[in-house]
Amino acid sequence: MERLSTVLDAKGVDYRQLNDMVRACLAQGERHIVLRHVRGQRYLGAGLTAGDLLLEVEGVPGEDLAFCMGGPTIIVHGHGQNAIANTMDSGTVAVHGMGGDALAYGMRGGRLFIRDSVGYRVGIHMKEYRELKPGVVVGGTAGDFLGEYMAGGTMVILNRYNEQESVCGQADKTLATGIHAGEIYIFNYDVPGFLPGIGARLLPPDKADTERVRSLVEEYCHYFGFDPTPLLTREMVKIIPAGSRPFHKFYCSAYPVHAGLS
Amino acid sequence: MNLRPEQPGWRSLYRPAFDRSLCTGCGACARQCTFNEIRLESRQEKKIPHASGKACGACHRCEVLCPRGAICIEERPLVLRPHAVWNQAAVTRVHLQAATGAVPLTGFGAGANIPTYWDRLLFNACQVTNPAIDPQREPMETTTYLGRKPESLKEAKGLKISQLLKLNLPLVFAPMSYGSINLRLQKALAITAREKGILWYSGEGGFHEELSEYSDWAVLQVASGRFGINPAYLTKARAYQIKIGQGAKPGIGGHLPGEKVLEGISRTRMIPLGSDAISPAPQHDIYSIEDLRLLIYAVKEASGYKPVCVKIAAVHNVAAIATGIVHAGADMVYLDGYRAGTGAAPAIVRDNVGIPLELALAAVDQRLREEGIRHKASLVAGGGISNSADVMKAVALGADAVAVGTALLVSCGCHGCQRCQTGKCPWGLTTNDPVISKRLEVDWAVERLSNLVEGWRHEMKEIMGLNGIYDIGAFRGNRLLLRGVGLSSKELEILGVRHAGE
Repeated sequence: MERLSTVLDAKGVDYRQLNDMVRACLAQGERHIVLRHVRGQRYLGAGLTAGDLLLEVEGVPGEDLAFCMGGPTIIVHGHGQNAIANTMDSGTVAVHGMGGDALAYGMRGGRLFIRDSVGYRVGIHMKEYRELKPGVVVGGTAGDFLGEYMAGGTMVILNRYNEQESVCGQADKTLATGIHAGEIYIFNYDVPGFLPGIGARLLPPDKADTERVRSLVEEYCHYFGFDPTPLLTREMVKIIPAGSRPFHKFYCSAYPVHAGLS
Repeated sequence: MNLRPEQPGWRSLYRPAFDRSLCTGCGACARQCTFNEIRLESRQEKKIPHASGKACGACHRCEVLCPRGAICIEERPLVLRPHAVWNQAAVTRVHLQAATGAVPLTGFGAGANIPTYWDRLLFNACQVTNPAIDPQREPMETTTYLGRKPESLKEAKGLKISQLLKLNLPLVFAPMSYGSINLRLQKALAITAREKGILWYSGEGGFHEELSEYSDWAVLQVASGRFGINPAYLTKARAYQIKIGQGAKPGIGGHLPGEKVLEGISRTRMIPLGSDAISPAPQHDIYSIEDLRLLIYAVKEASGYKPVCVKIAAVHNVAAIATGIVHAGADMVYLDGYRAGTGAAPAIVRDNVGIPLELALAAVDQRLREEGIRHKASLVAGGGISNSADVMKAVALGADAVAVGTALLVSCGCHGCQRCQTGKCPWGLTTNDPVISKRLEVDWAVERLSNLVEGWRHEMKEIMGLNGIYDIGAFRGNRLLLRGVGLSSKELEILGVRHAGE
């Protein structure tokens, strides 16, 4: 028998209470929860671990949506704010709209799909571990400091409207600064040479890359009802670490020695 | 990087000297030295140890373990014409940098000649009119509660009050991550903390599953690198700590080099084997008090409203910063002072950045009182606490609890050679080398740590008793118990302490 979904009206409800309501529904075995009239309530989905939970958010959720979440799927019918998927471990977040700043901070696994553009500082410290490999697809463009200190996972800037400026930031050496693992793909944009920061380098993608990006983009398109084919036929570039030790030569050990003229 | 110890001119500033009349040639010293300072030469079927004079850093491992007591570490100063600026430290540093073009890294806490105010503060004692208390005969209350205290019964019954942490002593074990120290030492800290009813802090290196039975006494850290943090991590500890800064290196972050990311560390931090573990000082999701509030409450929401502590380094505007942190909703503020230890920091930062804990602590406590928010958060203070008098002076200056780190390492053998960053700690403390780290036996370390805590406990009670105070609560923030000696009126003003004789 098909389960009916539970609808909670979030209008005027404090975020703590709303999160408690969600947890209470979960405890009662509900696995499809719809939140109506969400107006900036924070921490929705934070720390939730039910892999079979589908949480639908109607309205605009507050910051730290899916903070440290492990498993559920969250679909936002509206725009998102800052810090979505902060330290997320697994699960999926799909936002039918735009995303704010500092998304996917320290995200270690799962998927984050933003239909349109996102703000600054997206994907900082994204990392991976064994089977946990985070994937982020941004439909539009991203701001500065994309993928700073990135340590794993895959980020795709789809540039659906084929913008020709500020697709992945515009300030000097702010793109993927300090990246030491992971990869970023930018569609249909000639990334200016001054953008990549220390430790980042630009390369054309190879076949395996293309396949990996294809599967991520198809998943993205599935959530928003787009046709992936025209999106995928466009050119893309890859940004990966120049080495796994970006600061290797930066330090030496201060032994208690007189180094003489060695 | 172009270090060539084999070149002439390279020499260590210390060297083991062997008493040949005692040495039996057993070779223990050579086996113990992890820096290859000592080599054995065979002569007439006897093995004779020789010092190379290139690597000794005065760790005293060979000296302490020599079964015959035949070794004594000697200083080998670089003899220079007296000069106020170009002394040994200045000349050797320039030579090292001229050879490498890099930033010299060091471990331990700042050693520069900055005033240690603990040594300029003296306790009062009861005489004639108010009797001292003998802690051997009278009960002394040292129980300490950390966390946000409710303002009213109504609030206490309210929705989500974070639980208070109950400690048997106003003492905690400072954050030292698995990675900077090894698991054996961290386990010994955890066991001792549980046994003594105090807290141990994990540092940012994640939480090894072997320590899960000690989670009730653990404060786990959330730092910029988010190592090892998943939903389970955010539910199992007693409290959480958001690390903004470290006293040993304010304004810069952690960096565990890839060669130290071995199997266990990789698993605990949840990062690939051999990859750098970089956690810069800026948390790029925090640019304001409001951003900090977001993270504090995110951690609370995901952890079921466990207490959240925010750790900052003692810097110039520390009082205003701490105020912001309390307004942001932190249940504890952890102040890390200038002399705090570290597993690795640029020497130039360690020795030149931040301010002494004593001044920072007094300023923060005072400011929080003035703003009427002192009860909203507990203060934990650490950095350079080397004995129980320091602990009690910190309590008198306003600390709810005092963190010790370096003293714990010293209790387990450390002699302060300040080479934690090399990963070759001869005492098996700040190393994860599978062979060297076996030198530390957990049971032995627990015994040493427990003894230290017990010794300090006795002394702390003694200091309370001789001041006529039987409850730590009456000691806390009680600056009338202190007098300064040899301090300027400005220093006294900041410390909130009168001069001796006043």
